[in-house]
Amino acid sequence: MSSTFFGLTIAGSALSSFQAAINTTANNISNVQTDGYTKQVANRVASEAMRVHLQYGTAGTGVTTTSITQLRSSYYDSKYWYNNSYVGYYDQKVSYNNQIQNYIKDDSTQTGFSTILTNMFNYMNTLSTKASDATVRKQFIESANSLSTYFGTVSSQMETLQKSCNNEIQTDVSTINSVSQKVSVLNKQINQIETAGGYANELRDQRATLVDQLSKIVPVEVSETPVTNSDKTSKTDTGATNYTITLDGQTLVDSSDYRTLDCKSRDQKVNQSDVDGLYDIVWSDTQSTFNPLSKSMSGGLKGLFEMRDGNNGSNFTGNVTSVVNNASGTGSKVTFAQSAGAKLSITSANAMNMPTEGKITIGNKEYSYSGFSYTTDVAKDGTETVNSYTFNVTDGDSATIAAGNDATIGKSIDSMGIPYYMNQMNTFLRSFSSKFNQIEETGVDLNGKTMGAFFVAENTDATENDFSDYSSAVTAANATTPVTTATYNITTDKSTSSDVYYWMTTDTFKVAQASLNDSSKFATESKTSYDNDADGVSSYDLVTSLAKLQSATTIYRSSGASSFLKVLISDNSIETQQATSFQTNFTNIQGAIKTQRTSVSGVDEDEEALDLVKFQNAYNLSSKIISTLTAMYDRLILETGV
Amino acid sequence: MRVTNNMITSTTKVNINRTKELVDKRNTQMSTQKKISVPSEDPVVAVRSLEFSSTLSQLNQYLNSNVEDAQSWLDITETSLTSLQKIVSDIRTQCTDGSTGTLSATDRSSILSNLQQLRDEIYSEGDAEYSGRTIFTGYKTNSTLTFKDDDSKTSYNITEPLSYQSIEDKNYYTGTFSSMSSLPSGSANTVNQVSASRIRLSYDKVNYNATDSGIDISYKNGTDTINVKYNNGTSAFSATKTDASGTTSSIALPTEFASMTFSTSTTSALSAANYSVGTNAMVLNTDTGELMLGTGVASALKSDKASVGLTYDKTGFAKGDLKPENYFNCTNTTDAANPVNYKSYDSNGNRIYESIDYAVGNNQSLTVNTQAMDVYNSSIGRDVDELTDSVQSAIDAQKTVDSINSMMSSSEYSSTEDQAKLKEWLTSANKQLDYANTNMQNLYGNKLTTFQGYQANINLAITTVGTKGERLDLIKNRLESQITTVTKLQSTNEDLNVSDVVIDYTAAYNAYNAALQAASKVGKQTLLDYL
Repeated sequence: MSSTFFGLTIAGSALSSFQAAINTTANNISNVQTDGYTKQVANRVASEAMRVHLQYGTAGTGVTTTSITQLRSSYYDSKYWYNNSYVGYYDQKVSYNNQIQNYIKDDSTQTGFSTILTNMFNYMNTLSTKASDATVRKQFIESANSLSTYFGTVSSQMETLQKSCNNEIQTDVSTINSVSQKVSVLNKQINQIETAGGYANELRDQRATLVDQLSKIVPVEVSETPVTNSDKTSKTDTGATNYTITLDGQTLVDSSDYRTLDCKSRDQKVNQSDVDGLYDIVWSDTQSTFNPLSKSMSGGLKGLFEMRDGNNGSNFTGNVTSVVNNASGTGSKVTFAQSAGAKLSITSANAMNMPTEGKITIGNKEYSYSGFSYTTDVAKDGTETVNSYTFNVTDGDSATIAAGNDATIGKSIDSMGIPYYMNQMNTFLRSFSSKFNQIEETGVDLNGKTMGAFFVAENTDATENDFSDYSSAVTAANATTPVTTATYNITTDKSTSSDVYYWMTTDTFKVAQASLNDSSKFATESKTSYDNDADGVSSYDLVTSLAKLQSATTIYRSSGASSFLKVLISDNSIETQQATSFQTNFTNIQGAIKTQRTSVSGVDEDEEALDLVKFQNAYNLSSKIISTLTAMYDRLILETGV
Repeated sequence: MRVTNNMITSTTKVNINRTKELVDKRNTQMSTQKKISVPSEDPVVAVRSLEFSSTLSQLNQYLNSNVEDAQSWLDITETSLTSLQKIVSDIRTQCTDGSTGTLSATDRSSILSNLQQLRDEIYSEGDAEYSGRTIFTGYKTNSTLTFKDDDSKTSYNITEPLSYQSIEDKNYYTGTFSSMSSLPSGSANTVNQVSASRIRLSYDKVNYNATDSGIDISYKNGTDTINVKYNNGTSAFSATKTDASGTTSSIALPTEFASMTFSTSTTSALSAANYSVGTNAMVLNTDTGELMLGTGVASALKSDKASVGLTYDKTGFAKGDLKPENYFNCTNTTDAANPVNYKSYDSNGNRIYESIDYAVGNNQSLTVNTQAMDVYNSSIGRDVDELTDSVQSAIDAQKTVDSINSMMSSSEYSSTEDQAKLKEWLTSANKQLDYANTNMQNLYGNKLTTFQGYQANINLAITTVGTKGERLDLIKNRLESQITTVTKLQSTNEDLNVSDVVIDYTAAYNAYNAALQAASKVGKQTLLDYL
């Protein structure tokens, strides 16, 4: 039989239960505008019945609040995180591609390459009508100079962009590190609380927000498994959970343990036009490389790497033909020759983008090289096809390198990033300048002297590189007994390197200082015409050949000089357009997933208001029980019996 | 589906932003009136507009710069050529005057001074310039056509191509004498008229020396070219034959040139020898710049239709002389260490044209300049010189007659033998005067035709310039219409119709307003307001 005052206990349990419920509702209402807050509910269960030795056997004992839980759907969470990495990836691509677009665009608001080139050729046209006029000559030379200024500006803008990309990568890596640390701390705290019973709802919310932040940078996979007692008979939950975050298959956070990433700055460039100090990412503990560009990766970090390092597959690849050890004992000369079975990826001398010294990966091992030489087949019109490269490898020899090994410099990245655009500009400038200079060198200037190179490359010590080794090779190819192969050396020491167009890049491209100072030092007349009439100052037959360079001669990607910007703009704008449309798509999907998430776990004011009413009524009713029981006890105690 | 207030607020936020994006885009379109502001909005439009703007820039360059310039050049050329034509026509008038009837002394002097003026003007017209560049000198736009001052230091080695068609017979006079103030002793001079064949060079006062002068006679015999060259060392001619395939072999001198000789001489020596050169002799008169030919040589050259390339030196040029580099292959040897070569004919004898072509369209060019060689050469000047010389001779002959007459009527020479002697002299002087007058008249009559030929050349040049001007007008019209078309295409490609944009903008703005209004109603009331 139950006690007389049993009813009070039942009412009491009701009161405390409903108080807990009201507190939970109050908590929900206060947090209605908190980001990441998940609606909490108090779960009530009817208390265990008690055996009563009476006819009716068992009687209920009231209500117990078993737990206060969150209404969170891990399904939507994982969907959200997966999608967020794509949003982050396309965000970065759109942002950087838009900046590149702004640098190279040419319309009524900004003077770009096309306008400058057309101006230059217009002045050249005027030059053909007044070849001896000093003012007209100066005008043309200045317009050629503005071409060099343009490329210098664009190149420095691209370099700044690459640097800021690099800095953002560093920021992202620190974010990853700090998030992983915070999550591990939270994991520990959550486990401490939950092992002792109950749920750490607020901490879980915090942890989920951190993972939201992380998923925009890198794609993460989260798994949470309960820790169970190893005692097979009871199989009870300890209350603790094993929370792991994996990044590209590698563990980032494992309960209270976390790993960090480090940015290691490269000591050698990968592309000739890169800025110094670009970062590679390694795991701090194992120092093994972390590859943000693998196929399974997405996220803002991958977008940054693609923009910073993207070369559209134009890096050097080849197959080892022979290895010759150095006489000094260290290092060797590794040759890559073009053959039917082993193709070189870069066969045009103007498209070379390898740095003077750097790292080359042969047979999956990385070696350093310092300087290289290459052999070309020279045609009469000056086109060169590279048929072999020989690299001076400083730390590897025939012991580890064998013929037939595959080799690459840098990675082949299938997207159009800054190195791609820099390389395209370099290739264009080299082709254009070499054709221009070739024509110029067949002429004499106003003083009757043979003209040298008009477009030159400026060395770091402010001297000018006039590509004399290349010119000699072309002259030899046109001699009576033509010599059609040429070998060139590229080393870190300019004095031992060949004077070739390799040294011309967007920031070294300029007009020869002699022509800038003195407008008579530009050839408009060919040598044969000068020999016929040395006083013919208005002779302009060279200008006619030069004018063909605007569109009639093939200079760059099967079209003339004027198409250069068109080709580049179509590359870039199509990329941007694609990235923008993907960005819109994924953002829309993001919005939909967010809506679903909020639908499951958000706080609705109307619902909470209803809950308030509900629980208040229930509380009132429960307190009514007590007043009724009190009245009953009064009667029992005070008025029943004596 | 469970919908919370927060969901409604965030959806509203997203929608407002979406309509705002559209409003922003339409706003930009309205202010710039261009379809795109960055290339990625429509890459095809962007690349096409690049093409159009560069085409337009090129067309403008052609129209505003080249066509204008070419037109001015052609106008100036036409003006110069028209003045030249007038000058030559004036000379012809003088010729007509000079060839009719008898002339008085004053007539003769006025003709003389007119001719001298006209001769100066002819060649100075050739120095005409346009914006600092001389227009008749080909590529040498910084140097004049003629020598502006007497220049005694400049020396040239000139190769002049002469042809059998320039062989002419000229009258020479020996035994001439000028007006006398006293009676000379001895018998009176007999004035003789001799006719001799000659080819006139472009310059007088020339030199022939052994180191760099030469003679090269060439003519065609069937498919072979025969060259008869003079060897300065051996003072003899030798012949070579070049056949159709180009192989040269030496042959014996052809019979017509077998006994040909060459020498140089002066006017006084030739006059003393009565202008008779040997039948097979070729004599260069270095004073007057004439190649005197013996009858045998002359007929040989004419029958073979040969051309004679004569290389000679000339040091010192007078004001108004034409500069040789505009007409011949020559070398300026003023600075012996640095000789300067000029070529007007290539190795096959073809003209090397120094054309200044203005680009007036895509793959289209117009030659704007006329070279002096195509208008006139030194023959006009030398013809006028011969005319003036003949007038001068007539004037001098008249003076001589007058002086003798005055001597005859003076008391000093009243003695009979003096009178008889003077009468002899008078007869000679009259004969000299007759010769001079007849020569003058004949010369004027002949030169009428020659000058007609010169006028025809100049007319041809004027016509060429005229047709070029017409062509330029056509080109200008076409360029203008091309510019209009390209501008239209460019506008179609990248511009927006203002009315369309305004409508789009209004629609977008309305959508934005509606979104804002809807947003204002959200979240105003919850259940709590009713409890």
